[in-house]
Amino acid sequence: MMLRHLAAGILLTTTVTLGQATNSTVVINEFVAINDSGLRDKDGDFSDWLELHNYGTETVDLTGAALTDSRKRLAKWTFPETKIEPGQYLVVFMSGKDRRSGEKTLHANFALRGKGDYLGLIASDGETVIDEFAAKYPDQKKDIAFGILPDQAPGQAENLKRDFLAPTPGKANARPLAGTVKPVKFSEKRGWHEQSFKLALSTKTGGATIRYTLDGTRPTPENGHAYESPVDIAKTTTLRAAAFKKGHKASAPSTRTFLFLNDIVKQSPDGLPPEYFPFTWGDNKVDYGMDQRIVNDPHYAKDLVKGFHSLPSFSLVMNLDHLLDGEKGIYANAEWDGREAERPASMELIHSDGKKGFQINCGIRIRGGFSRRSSNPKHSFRLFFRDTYGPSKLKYPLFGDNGAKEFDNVDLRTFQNYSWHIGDKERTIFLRDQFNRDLQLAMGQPAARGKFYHLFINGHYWGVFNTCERIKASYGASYLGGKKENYDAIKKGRTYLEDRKMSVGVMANDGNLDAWGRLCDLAREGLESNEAYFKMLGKNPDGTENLDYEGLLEVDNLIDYMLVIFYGGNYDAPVSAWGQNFGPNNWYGLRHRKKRDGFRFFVWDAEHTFRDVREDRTGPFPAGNHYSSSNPQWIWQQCLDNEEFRVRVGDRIQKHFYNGGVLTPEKVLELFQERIDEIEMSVVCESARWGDSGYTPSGGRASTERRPRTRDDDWAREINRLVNDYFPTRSEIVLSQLYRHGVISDVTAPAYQLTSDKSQVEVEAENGELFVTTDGTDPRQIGGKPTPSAQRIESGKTSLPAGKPIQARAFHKGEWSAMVTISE
Amino acid sequence: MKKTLLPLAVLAIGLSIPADLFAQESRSNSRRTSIPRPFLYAYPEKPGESPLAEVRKSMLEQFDADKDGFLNKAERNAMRLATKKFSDERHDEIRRARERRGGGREGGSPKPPERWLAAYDKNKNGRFDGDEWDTARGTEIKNVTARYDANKNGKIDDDEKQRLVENLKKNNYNPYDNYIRTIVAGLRGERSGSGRERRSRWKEFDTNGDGKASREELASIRKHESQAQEKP
Repeated sequence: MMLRHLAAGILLTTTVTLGQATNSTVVINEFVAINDSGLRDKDGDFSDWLELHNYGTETVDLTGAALTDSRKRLAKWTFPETKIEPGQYLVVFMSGKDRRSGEKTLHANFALRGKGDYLGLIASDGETVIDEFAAKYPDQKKDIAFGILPDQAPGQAENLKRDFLAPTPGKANARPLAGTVKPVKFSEKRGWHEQSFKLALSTKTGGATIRYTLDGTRPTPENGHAYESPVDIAKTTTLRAAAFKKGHKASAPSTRTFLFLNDIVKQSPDGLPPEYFPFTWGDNKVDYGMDQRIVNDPHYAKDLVKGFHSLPSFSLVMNLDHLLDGEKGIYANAEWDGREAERPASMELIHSDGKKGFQINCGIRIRGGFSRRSSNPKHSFRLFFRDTYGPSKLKYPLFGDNGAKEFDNVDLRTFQNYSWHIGDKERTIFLRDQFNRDLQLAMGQPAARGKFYHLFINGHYWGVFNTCERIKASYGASYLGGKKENYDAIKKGRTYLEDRKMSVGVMANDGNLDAWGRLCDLAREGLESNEAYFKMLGKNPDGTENLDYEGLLEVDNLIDYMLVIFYGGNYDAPVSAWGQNFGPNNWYGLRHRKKRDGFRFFVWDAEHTFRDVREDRTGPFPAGNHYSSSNPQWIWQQCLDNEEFRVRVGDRIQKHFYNGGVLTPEKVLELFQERIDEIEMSVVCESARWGDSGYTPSGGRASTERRPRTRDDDWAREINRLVNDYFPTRSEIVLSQLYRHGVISDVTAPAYQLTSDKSQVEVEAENGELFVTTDGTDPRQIGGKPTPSAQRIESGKTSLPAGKPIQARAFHKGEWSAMVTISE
Repeated sequence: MKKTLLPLAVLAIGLSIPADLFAQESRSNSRRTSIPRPFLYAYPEKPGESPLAEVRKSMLEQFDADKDGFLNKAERNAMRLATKKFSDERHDEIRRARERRGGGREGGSPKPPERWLAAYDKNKNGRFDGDEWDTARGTEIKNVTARYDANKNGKIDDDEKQRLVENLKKNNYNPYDNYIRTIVAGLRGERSGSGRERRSRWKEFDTNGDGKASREELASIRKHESQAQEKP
């Protein structure tokens, strides 16, 4: 870092104007770029700040002078009429809130970067640099100021030394910090406990004092209890502790949750708030406590206990004002979105079996669309891992060994349209969205993984939640390779503009929409010819690669994605039946801009599925005829004009709907059973927490008058409908729907079986000849001729050595069957 | 599959729920909703019928031009185009119906009802811009609330809302019309009253005025409610 202090200023008799001038006596004395728990602004936010100091003997007029983080835009934020007296310190919040007039405190229109950035104080001429950090200040530390060392003679600006200091906003700078206090250690592990115990707190830093809180707030030198002796822990407790020592940076707060089952099942039995919780959540519907009709029901008592231990638990601990306060709580104002609606929190993962979990300080927001309404008492969350809170990534295999190991953010989904707290209670199974994502993953496609967890908020049980990976650029980098900066992550979504007005349509979460626009343009021009169709895939008309063309679509991925949509009878994605199929919804796409891969699509928010077993979502639908409503199903519909695409669809149908494929009844039921096993016991816990919640649009009956929804009377009934009625018949119904689109050949695909000694595979065409290859190629060439390397078996029946991949098609009356891939 | 059926069957037996109850539930669940039904053929309704075989049979009757009992590539394509044409025509009908009801073109905003335009479209440009929409929505919600709030408690209760929706239907409003949805959403917004009610209810017990439940305040509330229950 190179610091320059350029002398400037016009000397007046009593006031110096910070214009084109010499001898300015104002410097950037200190700043805090990662303010996590220090100085609050009047909104109660820990905004970044900087402090100017006039070390001279005359007043300096700052009016029109500027602060900037960009050398290309020196007058980024200009001071209103402001003077700084001799010896005075002036604090400016670098909050991005841009408050200049009528305010006692000033807020710049940008915030400071923790990773180091340019920072300059510019004279009122908009050009002259008074003080600057060029090329950039060093990486900053949380809650630590970077400023001028004390005891330096003023005026020797170019040689001023700066270092990390204890923040002293509005006062002379402190001496450099002697170090950071070691974190607080706990004598007991987080997690489930049965016996009361005494919790000892300690730090390895001698002479440090420890303070702790029990209400979720952050311990500070002023907040919380001073630790003097071990704390009695006899009930569910969330304890946050930090250590402090004069001249040292405080330790980061450590948080530990202790769960007592006997206590949890009795939480707020009458619906009154737990201790420290508010009576109201702004205008949001309030719901606390465990329904004692479930807790005390002998039929459920044992399963309730099993249920709490059947899933891992998240423990969210935070200042409840940030969550539930009517004025500033994000849960109480669930429609708030964006960075302004992000609050600091601690999240712990607790495994019942003693497996190691984690604790991480993070940011938290409310997520979702429909579920944000105030009549919903159980909102969804999104966690953000940033260096402003703690580690910039969560490093934990949250989705199992095959999933990503690092995360920038994680979703905790509630259940919406089919739930006991807001939706269709008769169809509540908690599995619809997750199971659709499971199917896509099982088909060999990337998909948003997820698991089920209990959630506790400051120790109060909040029900079962579903984690879900986000389809962002970071997802692409984790699973598909390359740098996340090179991904376009697009969706049909909504965003809030700066003026809080909502914008809806196709949008890029990461990257841009350029490639999507080109894909739509090609599709709109028509894909019937192989020239057009294969160009979209980055290929020549014969299917060979053409490096002059970009790959815009992963065809197999699109087909498999659509097969999941059709199988689930998805009402709300990627085309929404709620808008009579004129509009899109709930789709995500991902593409690496510098690779030859095309767009891949992801099942998202698939709650409106598995309803009527006869549901037909194959369309075609009008949504997509305009770019603003473009979506993967419209691309599919355009592709259907191409014969080669239809053949490929037939091949994917053959793969997934036959021979134990993912969408066969037996495989679907096998996969579904895994999810049933995962949540069956925990459904009792959800029933006790939310089974009596109900959705009452305009008040209505008190929830205590309602029969609580239960696992065996409600959840199991719908599960049974799916298991007994839907899944056994759905596959063939979908095939019948797809047949009308000309993607299923009337030539039956070859059948095959292993011989009894498993040395040979017998392959047989029901009608016509058989063509097989063993070199991985398709027996049928693009255009319909047999592949030269394919064996032609006129009898329609052959045996081949087992263990090598075999591709086979039947050929009858000039028509090909779907391709069978045998890997026995 | 076997694994699934067994525990759930045991569960059902344990609850003494007759098997035909599930069957009845299944039938009722399979009722259609308002989503338009496709297209060209009837789904097989009888148990044991194969949907794919039935559909193929139906398609052969319509598209097997050479009557060889087999759809070749050209015949399959004709079937595909017919399916597409049928769907396109059906959605054209829906689009026209939407436009007749005041719905807009794809990707655009629905056209507001004439009465609303007359009352709130101040600059007479045929749509709501600026504050016109907020004014229209707010005023209409107030009007509807005043009209249907039979018990005059300042909000639309469940029964009152039911009457409101029935009246709207009688007047040929599509219940999914955006404007009606807006009104209903607005009535849901009246739930804010519940927040006020709660604040009022707890105010006397929130002795330190911080809005949160302290141990002492909770004890006081529970004591109060216990005494209230004991009163004859």
